[in-house]
Amino acid sequence: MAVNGFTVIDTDAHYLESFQEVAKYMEEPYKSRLLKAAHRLIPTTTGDRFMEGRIRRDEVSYPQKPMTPEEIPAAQKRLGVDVSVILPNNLLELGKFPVKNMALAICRGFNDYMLDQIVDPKRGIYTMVFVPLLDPPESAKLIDRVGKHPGVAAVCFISANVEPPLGDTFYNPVYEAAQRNGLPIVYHSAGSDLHDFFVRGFQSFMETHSLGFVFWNYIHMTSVVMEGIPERFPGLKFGFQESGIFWVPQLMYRLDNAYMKRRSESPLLKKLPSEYMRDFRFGTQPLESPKNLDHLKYAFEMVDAENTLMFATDYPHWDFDPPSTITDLPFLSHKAKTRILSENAQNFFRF
Amino acid sequence: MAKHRIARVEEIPAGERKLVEVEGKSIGVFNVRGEYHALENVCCHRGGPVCEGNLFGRLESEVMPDKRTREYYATEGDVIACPWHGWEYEIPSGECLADRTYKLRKFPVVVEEGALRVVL
Repeated sequence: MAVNGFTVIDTDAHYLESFQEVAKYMEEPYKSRLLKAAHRLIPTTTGDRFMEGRIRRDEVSYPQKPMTPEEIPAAQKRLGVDVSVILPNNLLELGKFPVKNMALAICRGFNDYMLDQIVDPKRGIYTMVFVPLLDPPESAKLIDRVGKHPGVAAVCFISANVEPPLGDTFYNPVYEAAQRNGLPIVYHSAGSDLHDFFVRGFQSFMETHSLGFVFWNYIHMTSVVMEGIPERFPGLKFGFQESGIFWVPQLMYRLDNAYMKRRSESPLLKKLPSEYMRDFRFGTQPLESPKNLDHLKYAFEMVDAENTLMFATDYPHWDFDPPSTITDLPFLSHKAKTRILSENAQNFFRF
Repeated sequence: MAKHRIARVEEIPAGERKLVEVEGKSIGVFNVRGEYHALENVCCHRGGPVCEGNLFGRLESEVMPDKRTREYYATEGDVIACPWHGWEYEIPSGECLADRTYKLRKFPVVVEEGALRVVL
């Protein structure tokens, strides 16, 4: 496949699955509950992502109806993607499920469904272990059960609406299980609904969507770094998705600034917060596009882009990035493009 | 510069469009209330097939005397939205509504002997 000679790994793609199909992989009573009331149990977003027809995805069933597995290779071909790491769309609101057993049943069902019906490592189609973070011991068992499957490339923390923040010791069993299974952690942020945003009263999808993703990444990144997760789990690799790149230097320098003054609050840290962050990986989507390309160039420098960025499309979502988002950048060397489009992901995920 | 015959006049009634290939370029030819406009089918944002998008009016908002706002369609059917990410362009000018410094490439259209010709 490839684009302009570059192999492309899409580190964040999505698949819209049918609840009817997933339910076959669930146990009662959760199976019937999901089948009969999925749209009341699983919060959906308000505000039309597709702006009443302004945006369309003619080549896939999303968002009107569930996709079929055959649509994945078709989408890969259209985008020029060789390898995809796929997150089932209906799980994006996982952090809002208040009922532990239901969240657990859903995660078990979704993981088994993805591994049975969707992944196909030979064709470059992978998924991650999705865990119910409000139940760390059960999350750990789930990772141990499915984590060895060749279609699993990481453990994914669907991080929106997850409390306490993900550096908390509450999650130790989950981090331990990921480390034990040799899987990296992907923090996948999500937007926020108009109704459930931190601050009520925003009037458009654009306002809450722009903030929601980056807020959850700020929250969990701050907690993961300052609570010393990399020191506590030195065998783990960490990647953050879905907020572009400019948030990264802002948080690096802000945390460094505070740490220089208040080191006694984080004595576990052995280096500056920004130095931990430069060991992490960042999905590129949605990459900012300032008119003055020098601004983007400097942001790439600040995050050490060649070593930290992993290309992601987020396709078929309304704000997806095609591979040309990277291949067209005039200030990147061929080597840097190769690293961002495939090598960094190759070294990060377990393919 | 050459004139390329792309359609009979009656092939593109008001409110309709035709996608054509001229000299290797994909071009959308639109009839907006009897005026023909030819725009290159390449969005300024990520190169999406903008001319295949849905048509809308130009949505505007005015501040009322009580400082509340009132949204209204100032025009009808002369705005096209790129299906990839929704960037909206005014067809007659080719300009992007959100930032008019972005413009789709426009080509002249002439009507001769009942045929539409694009000049490029």
